[in-house]
Amino acid sequence: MAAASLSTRGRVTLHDRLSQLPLELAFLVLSRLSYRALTAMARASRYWRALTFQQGGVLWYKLCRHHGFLPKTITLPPSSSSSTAKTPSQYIPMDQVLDTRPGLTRALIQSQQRITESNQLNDPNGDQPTSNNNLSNSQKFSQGIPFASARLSRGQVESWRDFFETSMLLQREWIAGRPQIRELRGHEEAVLCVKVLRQGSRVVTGDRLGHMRVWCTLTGKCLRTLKQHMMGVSSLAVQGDYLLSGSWDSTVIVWRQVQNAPYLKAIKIIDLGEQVMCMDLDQDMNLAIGAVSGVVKIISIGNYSVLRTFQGATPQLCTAVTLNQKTIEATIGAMYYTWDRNTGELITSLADANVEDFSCMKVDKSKRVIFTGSKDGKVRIFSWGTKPILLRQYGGHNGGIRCLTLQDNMLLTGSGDKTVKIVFRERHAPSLVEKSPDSDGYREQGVDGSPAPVSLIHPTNVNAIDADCSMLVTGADDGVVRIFDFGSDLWRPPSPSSPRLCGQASLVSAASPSCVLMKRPGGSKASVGNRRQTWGESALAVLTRARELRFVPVSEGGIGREESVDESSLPGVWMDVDEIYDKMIEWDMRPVSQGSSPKHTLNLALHMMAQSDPPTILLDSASSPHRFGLQ
Amino acid sequence: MPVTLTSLDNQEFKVDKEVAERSILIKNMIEDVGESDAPIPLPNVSAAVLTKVIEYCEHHRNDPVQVQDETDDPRKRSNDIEEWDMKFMQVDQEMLFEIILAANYLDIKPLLDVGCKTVANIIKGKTPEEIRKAFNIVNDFTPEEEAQIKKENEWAEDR
Repeated sequence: MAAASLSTRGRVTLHDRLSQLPLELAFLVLSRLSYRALTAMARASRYWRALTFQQGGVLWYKLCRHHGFLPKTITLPPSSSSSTAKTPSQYIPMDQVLDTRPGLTRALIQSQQRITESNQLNDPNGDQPTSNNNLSNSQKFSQGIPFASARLSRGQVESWRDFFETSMLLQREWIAGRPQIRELRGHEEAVLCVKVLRQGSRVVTGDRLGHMRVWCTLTGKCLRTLKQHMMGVSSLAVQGDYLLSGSWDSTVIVWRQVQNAPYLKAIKIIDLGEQVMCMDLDQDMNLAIGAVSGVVKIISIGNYSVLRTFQGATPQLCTAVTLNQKTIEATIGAMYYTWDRNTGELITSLADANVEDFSCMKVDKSKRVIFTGSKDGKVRIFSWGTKPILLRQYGGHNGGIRCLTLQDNMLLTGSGDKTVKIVFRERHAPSLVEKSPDSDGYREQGVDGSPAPVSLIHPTNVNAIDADCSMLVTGADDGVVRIFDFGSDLWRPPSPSSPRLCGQASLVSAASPSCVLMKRPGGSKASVGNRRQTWGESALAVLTRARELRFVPVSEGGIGREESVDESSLPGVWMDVDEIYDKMIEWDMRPVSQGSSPKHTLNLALHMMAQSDPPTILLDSASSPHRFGLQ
Repeated sequence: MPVTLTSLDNQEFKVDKEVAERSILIKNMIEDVGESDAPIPLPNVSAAVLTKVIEYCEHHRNDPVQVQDETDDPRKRSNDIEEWDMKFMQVDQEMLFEIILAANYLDIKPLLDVGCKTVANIIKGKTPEEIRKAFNIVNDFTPEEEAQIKKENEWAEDR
């Protein structure tokens, strides 16, 4: 037939017409596949597996972009920026992408450590991807393409497929909302600002007394305390090696990161005569500051001179500034302003009678929208341009929003209602985002097409928030800096030990100790619930099971392994911390412990759940020790 | 003015120029040769396939010429196929691949797209074993390799 002359491949059997397609056509077909279908295809035969890796993994690169895993604003050389990524040669280089996403590598390293640890600890069945057996196997296998899992668990991203896999796993972790939480203690007063540094796994924080601290995100240790500001540190800005801290004491201090060391060195103190509330630093080291009296200034850090001063109509707090190439934006009181940076001319101002004072603002230039948070607990999304229009607003917080940040397709808000919420933007701003991908693309979707928001509960108000692609860092009134690490264990298998917990996930609605999934109207959360358990959920599961053991005849299935239960060994419906903890261990429901004092954590979690409104569990405080029960 | 196309097996097809020019290959040929009554030989396409291709071009004769760019607009990634095209593509696999090859040879981008989408839709949602069965692909992995590959790709099936 005619096709035979076009076909370039002869080694496959005669009837395998798909594999006989010329390479470029085979590629066309593959480029139409979702990642699930592509991996299924890669498992069909050696030929197809090799194809998915060809041309530097272009197929995976496209999927990465399709899923939004690539940075949106990468600084390409100006010459090529006109026709971005049209041909393979203009793809963003991998190392550049990885540079912008240090969280990815950190997550891989951490997960790798965990695998090694668990190998050493318990199961030497050689099943883990790091075992020597597999490594040598992978090296000789299949046209020189080693196994991705072997590479990844060594903490390396070598192909776009690796990158996609890691990014997808991370995304699932965010959606599942089960981070590992690390509390960094040291500040004696409320933490007002946090900043994740790109290099070296560092976080810098500033508190109400003017102390600044540098932390290591991997160990959680405080590496240095810096006391230079006389009053609260309100904001931090980073550019390259420089870090700037703005304070209520009316100064801005320019710090320099000392190479290969975690420490900062103060190199200049700028006295402004205005209490600094917020800052933004651009690439040319021009700093915008917003002051207490509604004054906005642009300062050149090169020669420490004030380039321009702007004044809002009202002498209220300036809560956020954004410095762009030609313009500067600020929120002052309940007003939003845009000025021309060079002429000082007011371009636009916006006041909505319904809007209470803005408390924070972020601009997403690639999508051309402004996100604002205000004291009424609402997030408002405006179009970005000369005439901002309110596109959408939504609530969710019961207290004023204090801080807000954007990470990938997520909007993260911290509030005076002691929570941080993670909203996946497809859902709440549908006009901004592409249609959902191929129908088999996301199964993690909620009823209206995107994952349910995740809520992270804090003991006190949340003042500051910053994130990278694998973790979220918050600063709160209690002076504790919390790291919510979503990349602590990427390859943890879904735990099969407690199938009952699946159904419990939706029961845990409002007050698991540190992190819960919001109840989703009409949606089922079963699959996610199983993946990460916190102390609160495990405790709930224990109590639920205890109740079932009491009231459900043992013979009627559902309890699985407990074939014969001695009546006397049944736990009471009211249990104290020790009993719950023991049952957790007995029933293998214990979450992977992070702290050195698990019982203490559990105790805290139980009390928090009992004190939340409405309470998730009941507390019997008359007994000693306190006992807990289900409603 | 009608154009005459000759298939691999020397059958002649008379089609309107407008229809024939859906194929960029033929369009370029006509432009190169100029107006002429000579039949255009298509030595890579059989009569049966050419019949199908002409049927497609007839139906889509009035479509605006697509400005195809490869920028992968996410919206364009959708594998939705128009109803008529879907019916048109309900052919056996042999014919399906013949059409794809012909569309590629004749440079009819929309038809090639529809063809690839159809194949992609067959692959979609299938397990590797089902894919092999659907396309007669021979599994040439050793059992150990297969286990490894399964492990390597587990994350994608997970949920």
